[in-house]
Amino acid sequence: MKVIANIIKYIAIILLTCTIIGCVIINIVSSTVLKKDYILSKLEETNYYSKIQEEIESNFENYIGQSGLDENVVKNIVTIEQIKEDTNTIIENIYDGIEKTVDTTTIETNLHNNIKESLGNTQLTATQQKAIDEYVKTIIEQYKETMSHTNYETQINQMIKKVNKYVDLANKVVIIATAILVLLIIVFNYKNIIKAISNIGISLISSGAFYIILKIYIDSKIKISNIVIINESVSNTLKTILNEILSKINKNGIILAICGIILVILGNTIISLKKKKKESEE
Amino acid sequence: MSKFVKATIIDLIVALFIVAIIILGIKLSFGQKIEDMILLVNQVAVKVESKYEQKPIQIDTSKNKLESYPEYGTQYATIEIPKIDIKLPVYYGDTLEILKNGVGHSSGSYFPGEGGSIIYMGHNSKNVFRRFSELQKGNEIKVTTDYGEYTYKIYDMQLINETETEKLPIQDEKEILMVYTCYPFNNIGYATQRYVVYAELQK
Repeated sequence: MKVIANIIKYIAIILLTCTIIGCVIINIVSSTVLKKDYILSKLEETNYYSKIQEEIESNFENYIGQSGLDENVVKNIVTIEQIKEDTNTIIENIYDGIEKTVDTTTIETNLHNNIKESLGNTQLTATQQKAIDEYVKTIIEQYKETMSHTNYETQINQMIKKVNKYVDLANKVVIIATAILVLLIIVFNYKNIIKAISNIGISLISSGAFYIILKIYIDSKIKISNIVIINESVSNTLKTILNEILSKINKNGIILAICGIILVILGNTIISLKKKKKESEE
Repeated sequence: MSKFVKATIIDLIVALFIVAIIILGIKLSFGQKIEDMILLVNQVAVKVESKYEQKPIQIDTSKNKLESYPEYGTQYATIEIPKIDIKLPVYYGDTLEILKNGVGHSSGSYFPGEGGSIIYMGHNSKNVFRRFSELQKGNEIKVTTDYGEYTYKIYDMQLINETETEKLPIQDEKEILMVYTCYPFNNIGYATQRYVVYAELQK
């Protein structure tokens, strides 16, 4: 009977380890990639807006050679404020599913004005005017493409909504399961409640060690500093987010392991003191 | 060893044993999927620091084939059109980024000396091909590469729409150099037509 009780107790410890791992991972995910404000703060922190402005202007310059226009026409047609506003629109589309479109009217007007200024009093034929309109359209498309990188904002939003729903559910399940398992461990140690402290400590050490090993494993398999996706600005922000998540994993791992060691030492100290006291009384 | 130390060590061993069980469980259940995912991330998103060194480009004349090709985006030749005083660098690739620096070589076409269609393109700006209208049949185009010099004689000029790619055929029976630019030469805005110069290999 004692053997079966011990087996169940250790299964409960293993399950408790799993629920602690789950709790931490859910917490990390929901406080980072699933949070709109976190993403916006990272964009600000990594200078995303000014970098993307440089990138946009460089892309515009690529179209100058074929246009016959002066290269100044594409200068200063997009401000950082406009980029911030449009980025926020895209992020809101992704996280809140509001389906707003990027407003390019100001850029279009600025570009038309610059072209007009550059051409001076040149009388344009209908064909030339059409070619200019086509050129402006191409530049605007280029802007939208560099800004959004994806046409799947709605799909991503639906995916995020679904993930959020599952994360909420998983969070509740994991918290309830953790509470039940802690109770179960206490019940199985009813003769020596202090031993339950050591058992919970074991779970904390295991989950902490798991996170530390996970961080080492990811570091050894993926060179985050070399990640290149879409463009430099996006890559930089992504690298910062991933590094921060990894650092959170590591930090949580260390904290869990330290707490676990403290509980194990505390539990065993109390047990040992109790035994000594009992022996001396006898 | 005191009972306290012994119990603590046993607890630590148990903790590590549990981690091992969990890791083993994950490996057995999702090991392959995790490996595949890591591979995919590394292939798609991680830039490998290149240890590749550009070998000198040489041509195997018996097979009419380059032994090594230039890296995408690098200059490998210069194009000279004496009639319009043009001497420009030729880069392997045809992105707008490349065309900002000179003439681009369409990556789907052959290289000089390989005996097929070579497609070059450049902007119609003042420093590049603005004066293409002055070219006539019989004018020469010289392409100088690291592995040899090639002279082509213009035999035709055509105005095509940007979508008419069949007017720039890729074939390997005869070495033909096709150089094109946007039309009209002094256009303003977006040009939808291309002016193509066709030249055949002389020597």
